[in-house]
Amino acid sequence: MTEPGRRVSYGKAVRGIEAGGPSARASRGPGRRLDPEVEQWLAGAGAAFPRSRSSLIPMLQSAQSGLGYLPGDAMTAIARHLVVSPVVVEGVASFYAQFRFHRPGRHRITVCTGTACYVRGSGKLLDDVQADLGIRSGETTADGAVSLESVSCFGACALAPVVVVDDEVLRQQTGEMVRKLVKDLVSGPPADGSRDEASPTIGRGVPG
Amino acid sequence: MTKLTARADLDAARARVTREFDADRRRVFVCMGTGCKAAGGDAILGGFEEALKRARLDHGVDLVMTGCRGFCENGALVAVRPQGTLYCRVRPDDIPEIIENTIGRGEVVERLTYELPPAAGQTAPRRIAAEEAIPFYQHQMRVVIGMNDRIDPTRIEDYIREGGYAALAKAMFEMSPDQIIDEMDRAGLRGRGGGGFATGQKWRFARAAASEIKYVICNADEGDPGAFMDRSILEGNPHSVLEGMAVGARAIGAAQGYIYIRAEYPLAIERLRVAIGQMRGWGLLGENILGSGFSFDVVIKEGAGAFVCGEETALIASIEGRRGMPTARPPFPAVKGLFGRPTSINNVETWANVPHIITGGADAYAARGTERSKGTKIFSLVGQVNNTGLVEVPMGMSLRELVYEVGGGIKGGRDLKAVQTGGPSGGCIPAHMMHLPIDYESLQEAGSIMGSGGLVVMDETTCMVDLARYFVTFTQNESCGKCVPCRLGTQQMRMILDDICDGRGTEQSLAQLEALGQAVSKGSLCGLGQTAPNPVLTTLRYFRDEYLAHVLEKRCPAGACESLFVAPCSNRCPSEVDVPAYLSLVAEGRTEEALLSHMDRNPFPSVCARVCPHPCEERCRRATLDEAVAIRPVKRFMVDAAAEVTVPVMDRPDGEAPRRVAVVGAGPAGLSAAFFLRRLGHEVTVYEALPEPGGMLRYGVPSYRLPRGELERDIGRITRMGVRIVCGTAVDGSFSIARLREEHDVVFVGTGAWADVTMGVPGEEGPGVASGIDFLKEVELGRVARRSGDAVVVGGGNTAIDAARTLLRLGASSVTVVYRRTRAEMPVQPEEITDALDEGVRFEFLVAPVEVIRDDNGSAVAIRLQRMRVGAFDDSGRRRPVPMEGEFIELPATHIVRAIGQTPIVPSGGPPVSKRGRVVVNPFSLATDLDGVFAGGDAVLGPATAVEAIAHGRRAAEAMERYLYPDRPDRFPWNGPRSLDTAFDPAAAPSEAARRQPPKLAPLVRRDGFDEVELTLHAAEARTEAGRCLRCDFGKTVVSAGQEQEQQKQEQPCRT
Repeated sequence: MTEPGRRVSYGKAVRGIEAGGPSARASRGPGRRLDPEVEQWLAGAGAAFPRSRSSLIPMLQSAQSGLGYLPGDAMTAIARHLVVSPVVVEGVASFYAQFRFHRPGRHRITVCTGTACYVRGSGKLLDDVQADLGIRSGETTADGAVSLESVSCFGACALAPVVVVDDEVLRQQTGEMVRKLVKDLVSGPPADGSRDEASPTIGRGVPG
Repeated sequence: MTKLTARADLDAARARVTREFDADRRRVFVCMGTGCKAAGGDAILGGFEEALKRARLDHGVDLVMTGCRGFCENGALVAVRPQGTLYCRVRPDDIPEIIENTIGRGEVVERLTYELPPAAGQTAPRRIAAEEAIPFYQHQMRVVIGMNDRIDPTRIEDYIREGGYAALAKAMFEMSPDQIIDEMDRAGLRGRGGGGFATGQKWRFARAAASEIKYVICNADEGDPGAFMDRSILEGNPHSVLEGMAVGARAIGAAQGYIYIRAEYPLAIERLRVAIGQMRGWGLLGENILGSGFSFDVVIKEGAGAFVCGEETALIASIEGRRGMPTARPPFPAVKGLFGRPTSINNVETWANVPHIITGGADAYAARGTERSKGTKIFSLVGQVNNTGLVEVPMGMSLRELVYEVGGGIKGGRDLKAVQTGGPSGGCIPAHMMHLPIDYESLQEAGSIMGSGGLVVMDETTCMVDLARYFVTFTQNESCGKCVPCRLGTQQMRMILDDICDGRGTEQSLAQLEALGQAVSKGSLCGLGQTAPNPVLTTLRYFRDEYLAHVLEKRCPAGACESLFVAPCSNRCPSEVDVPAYLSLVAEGRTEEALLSHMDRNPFPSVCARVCPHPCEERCRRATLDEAVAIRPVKRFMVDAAAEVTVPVMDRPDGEAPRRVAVVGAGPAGLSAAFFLRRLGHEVTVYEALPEPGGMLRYGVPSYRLPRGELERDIGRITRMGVRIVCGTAVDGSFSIARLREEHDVVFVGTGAWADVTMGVPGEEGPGVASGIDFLKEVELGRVARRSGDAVVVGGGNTAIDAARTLLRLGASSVTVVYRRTRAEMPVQPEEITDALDEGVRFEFLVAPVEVIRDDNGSAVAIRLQRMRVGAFDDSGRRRPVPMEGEFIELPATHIVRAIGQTPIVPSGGPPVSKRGRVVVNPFSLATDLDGVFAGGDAVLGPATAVEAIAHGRRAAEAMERYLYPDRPDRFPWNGPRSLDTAFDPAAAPSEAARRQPPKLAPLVRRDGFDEVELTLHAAEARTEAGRCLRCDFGKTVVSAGQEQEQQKQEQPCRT
């Protein structure tokens, strides 16, 4: 049998689990009170899910979208709701790349490293952003301002290389454009609130 | 909307929406596919809404939001009907003009229309206003996505108006489940997710399985990086997929459907939700649809980011709330699938094909495509191609047509290297196989797969080893971990590829990769593992030389593997000259050190400062900021300003006598080989047939481009080192290669490509017609006096232009260069064409010689030329010239020079040659089939550039040293550790200076003599120009051939 504290190590979410994953595992007894934020989610959105195994992934998705990430308590709550072992919940959560186990930064930069972006230079682009932010992909800056992620294809291949900042898709990015962008995010955008001129974004695609 | 409860209701509803639809009404279609949304689609849609209201046109003009139109590269797209005008790259500021001119007055806003990529020699931009006339659309066959450009995906009325849900009605009321399946069989539809399994057969299995409950699943987990077909279908026409699913459910007897879709596609999910809601509202989903007794419902399941869930058993596991790990088949899902019930899983595009088959009939459907691959296929055409976007073409179209006709060719006019199909499960198909038809079998035979439809185009800047590493990294990350060969095998493959890309690989690494690839493929349960090695195996199959360059020479020809070079410019230089080193030394005024640094890998600085086609500048990263650094002009300043320098000769190790080396031919290859061998301390003698050394540089390059004093400066440095050059001594007859080999320890053959290719036309033999290379040689030997009369030069290479400009200087009254293709396709550097034009040389493009016309005395008087036009693309990616029936021109010509090709001359008894007359060598060591005889330069390459010949000289010298001392580790002074002490502040902003171009003599002055045309930059200008270098090399140490043994000892990679 799997001991309670055992770490699973499959898939790419493993770093998150090992580094800072669910805490307070020792006191995961059935009666322990959970984080109030989690309780609130469970009482609201969470309770609506049928108590069947196929609700597990939708519940994890709902928790993450409500809480911003998956704290250990959220997984405990889901386990209780579905009446399965927390290990089952963690096992599933850690398998899928979508799930985060850290609180994300205020801004999220995602560099697409799909094939189309890669052959148009997104590998180097990601290197540049990592160097500028001083963090690796999958990490958040120490001040909690920016999380950096990479994703294998947004399906916006015609616009390669693509960088997504807080759900805004930026097309045909260069190292210079992203450098400017990172500067703005870290130190706040320019006074007029637009970064259009410096970093072509929506409607200002660089002529291919 | 009241619920439709009978088939007649649906027909009535269709009649009503059709009646209400006025086809001639003015409409503005704003594309809201992902590409156009990212280009500002929302702002444009909103902008139009407001502007139309302001112009009081909101009742007279329909504003329609559509799904992806496919031409994503040119987003945001706006189409205006009934004119059929398509506007590209529209911005919100453009809206008033479109409303006023196009909608108001029916006029076209020219500047917003599509601009064709610049073609051969064209100056004015060519624009196309009508959407249907754009080549990108003309070569397509848009069936499945055909509706995308005219329906609003959020309006079921639009779909019904276009014939939607007729297939479902037909399937429910006119066809039995077996008939539906028979129809699918006859249509020959095969799975569009990549596997190509027959859809009809899949359904038949699920239908045959006994169970009360069955399911249909739409696989919308489009995980292949580089693919977005499914996304565009779902965003642009979600009803077509849902209708297909309903038909499939009716066929197999399912009442419940699932759509498993990537969470990364929020817009597609939203569109599906809207569509499902509408279907319910209209009574097309739910209990007893249209009173047929058939009930069906659909649920959306969002994926959670696991590529392996595209595999059907893993997908099922994921819907069931488990880790997405595949299970062994059989049982197949058709027998035991979701929740243990019979399930038919089909891909989005497959489902979207279904209504077309049912409505139009199997025969009409099967009329498109090839024998075994029916219908059309949607591709996302991406990468280094001009028209990136979503395309739909009939099966069987050639890859070439797809890339060049639909895709508009390669970005920046570069050369196509390969196309990648099938994502991480597919393979790379090289440029020479572009004639392959697109069908399941052909692609599979080539080692790739059809895949879901990602088609990534790659040019010469993509490294195939790096690409293989990229895909293996992807599959390694996405391996679910269940099968050990996949989990660990892909990891091992990745580590080996890391080694190769970082300069630690050996030839053995390639064998290991192949063995591992086979093992992973055989030992994995699901498609992910079975196909994961494909990218590696196909690149090994088609691009082995590129792998070998990485492992044997520690060189990345594409310039992608950063560990292997100091900077892109020097990596691109065939001689691998350390460009940033000499630029930065020039910037600091240290010209002699700069010259020595250059001489370290290239002993012809003065020559290359004048005649090199400077491929280095093509890769200069400064070009992304403004323009490339003017590298060759800085080099020119360097050689002109520097005092003379001496390159040291190495002492041989104690007690070791220098070896005797013979070099045949004193051209750039031979002299370069002599230089490097002399540096290693050997005794070198060069034998040259002509009276002076220099080879093609002296006898093939006119002195207005390369003054002889400059050539002699470079050669002088080599002779001063102790290289002996014996001129006027042909190696032939009794003085043979065999005899040289007996008298020397090793021999290098660099005899060049001096034989010319004839035109093969009547009248060619006789006075007045000469070969270009002979003509230039005779001029240099002083045997040609003035030339009067009209001259015609046939050809488009360097020799042709050199001959033309020389004829002009010799007094020809007119000189015309005739070439069978267009200006853009001339092999000579564009700058040379401009210089020739400035001097008064005329050009006739798209003509080919058919006859030399002679008078009664036998003198040439004219040349007759066949007019050509450009035809289809050939494998070189250029349009093939085709004769225009019956169209000829005649040009008066007393002197005709043909310069259409050169082939090597190899002394008899020399090394074996290929069919094309080139010396056969090992491409890496340059060793010929004769023991101890090496060869390089034009003799091996055919007519090539000086810098390539010079590079061959160095590589041959290295190989000859290894041949002489096989057991000794490499110790070449020019491969030593890099030490550069020029100042550079990486934090400082780059120089803002603009590129400086050196001055030239005025055309009227220069055409009368042989003075050098190009002049030198001033010292201050040259130093400023050198200072524009971004110093990509800063802080880099690289691995070069010969260093890796030591390095490997130090950091033996730890393998588990």
